[in-house]
Amino acid sequence: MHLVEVKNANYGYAHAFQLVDVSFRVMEGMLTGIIGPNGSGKSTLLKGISGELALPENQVFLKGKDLAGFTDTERAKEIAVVTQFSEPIDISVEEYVLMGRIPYRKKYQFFETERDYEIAQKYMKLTGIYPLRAKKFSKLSGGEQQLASIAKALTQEPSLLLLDEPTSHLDISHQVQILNLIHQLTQAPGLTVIMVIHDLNLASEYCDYLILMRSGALYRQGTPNEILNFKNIEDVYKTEVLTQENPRSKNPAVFLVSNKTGQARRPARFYLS
Amino acid sequence: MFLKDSRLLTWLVTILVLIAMVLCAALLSLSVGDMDISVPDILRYLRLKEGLEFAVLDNIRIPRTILAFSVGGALSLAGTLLQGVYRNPLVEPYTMGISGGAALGVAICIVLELHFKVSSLMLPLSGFFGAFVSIFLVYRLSSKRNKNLNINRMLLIGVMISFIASSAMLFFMSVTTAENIQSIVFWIMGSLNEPNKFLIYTSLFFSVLGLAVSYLYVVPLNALRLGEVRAKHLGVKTDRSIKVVFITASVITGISVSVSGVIGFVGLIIPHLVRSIIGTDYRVLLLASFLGGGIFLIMSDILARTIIAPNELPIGVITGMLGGVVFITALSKKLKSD
Repeated sequence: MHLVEVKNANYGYAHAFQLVDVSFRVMEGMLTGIIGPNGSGKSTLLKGISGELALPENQVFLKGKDLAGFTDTERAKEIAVVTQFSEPIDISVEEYVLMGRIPYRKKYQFFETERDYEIAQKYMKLTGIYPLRAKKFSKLSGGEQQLASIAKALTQEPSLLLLDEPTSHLDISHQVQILNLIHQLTQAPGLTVIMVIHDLNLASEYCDYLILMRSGALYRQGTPNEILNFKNIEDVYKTEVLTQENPRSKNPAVFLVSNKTGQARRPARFYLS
Repeated sequence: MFLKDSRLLTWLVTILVLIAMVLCAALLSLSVGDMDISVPDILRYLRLKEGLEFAVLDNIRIPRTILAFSVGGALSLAGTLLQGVYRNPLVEPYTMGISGGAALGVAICIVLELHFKVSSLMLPLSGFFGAFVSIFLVYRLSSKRNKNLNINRMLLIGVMISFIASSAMLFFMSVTTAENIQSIVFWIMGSLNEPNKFLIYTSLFFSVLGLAVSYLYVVPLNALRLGEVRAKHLGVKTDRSIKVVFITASVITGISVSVSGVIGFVGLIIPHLVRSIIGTDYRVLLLASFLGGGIFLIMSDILARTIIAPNELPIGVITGMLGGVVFITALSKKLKSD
């Protein structure tokens, strides 16, 4: 079953960047990665689904319903977003995570309910930040802040989680820790995840399905094995790479070719054209 | 059920302590002056309802204390709201061009001598009119082109309107008589010496109304601490919240400024101090900074009229100096503890 369907999407910024007829489906319980060079429309695609950009009618569907028809609160109950960075605010981790319950507030509700606390606690434990709950959010490390942001997103109890380059500023141990957690979430509660990610090797290891973008249009879509070959990557990124099988996971691994060691297989001007 | 939450108890205690401080400051303000009246006497005279002491209390000190409380509360609340919406700690009600507009309105009124020709009420009215025009300009100019509100644009336009208004005011001052210049300067320095009780109660009414309205927006304000985009992700209608909060803050500032002149620093410093003491949760922060601003201005007013008694210092001088010193002290303490 698919949870999200993007159908001939051409939204974007008024009088500026627009997507070009992007269509794909996101299957339930899968981790779908959006890859592509800077300026190819990855973030624009994500911002339409997250509600940051105005969405035209009948282009994005969630559970078969037109996402443009959702109110802000309805959308926030279904879709949660984790951004690359978080505002380093001076409140405790627990208060921070509890903010995920905002979409569920009644009109004149002044305090969080018992249930809000239980849900926040559950996801703080799941993400492993429960021991840090009394600490100030601003005092956490980058990786811990990202875990707290994920806990806040999960506290929204969404059916779809959007991640915008969640690991690009983290060291490898935190990258793996966070992506392992994301993978685990697609398994156990069966969460559906769409993630914009720059690192092709992480995309290859973790994503079930990849959307490769080029100049606002969808260039290719498929499993990492189908997408991550040197031909597709060189076509889109205009950069020479080698690809080989990861000996452990059998997923494709992408190697860069520097001018220090590599002999260009083709004259460099090929890539500039 | 919520008492499990230790925050609630802390909040309750904070608010009760602040209310007690407001009462103490108010009693002190009623008791000191040219004629000292002891606290037990205050209550006795108020019950008697006659005599010179009662007249002094009823006609001068009570209205003045109420005005100090309502203006202090309004300015501090407006500062808290604007700093929250703009997520910029240097924003205060006057950054947004509100006081500039009010001052220009009053300057024009004085230059044209409308307050003599028509009625003395023309002074606050033209102040409010000036404040309102600049609020309107900031609001229109920053939200006209694209439907989305651009916060930084709003801030810059506010600062520019402020500059334009003060230049225009200097222009009017340069073409008018020395007496008029003196009255303009006197007004700008701010004073809580307002004989018109109607204006005082209007000011109090709108301050409290502003507090009530802003409480309808505590959840958006709390979410906006995460940044505008992340608040949107939580389903918060950021644009509408920012607009309502901006207008609320502007109206209460405009009314305060037109009744009591430009009293600086309250809206900048009290929100900072209160926030550093009780945290950033707007559910308690709004009320606490309202009360805190009230206390601060009542105390400042007591100093302003006692230091060089029987003369009176401009209240803006006291708030500026007191506020600045308190703020620097608090900041350096915080640096040490970090």
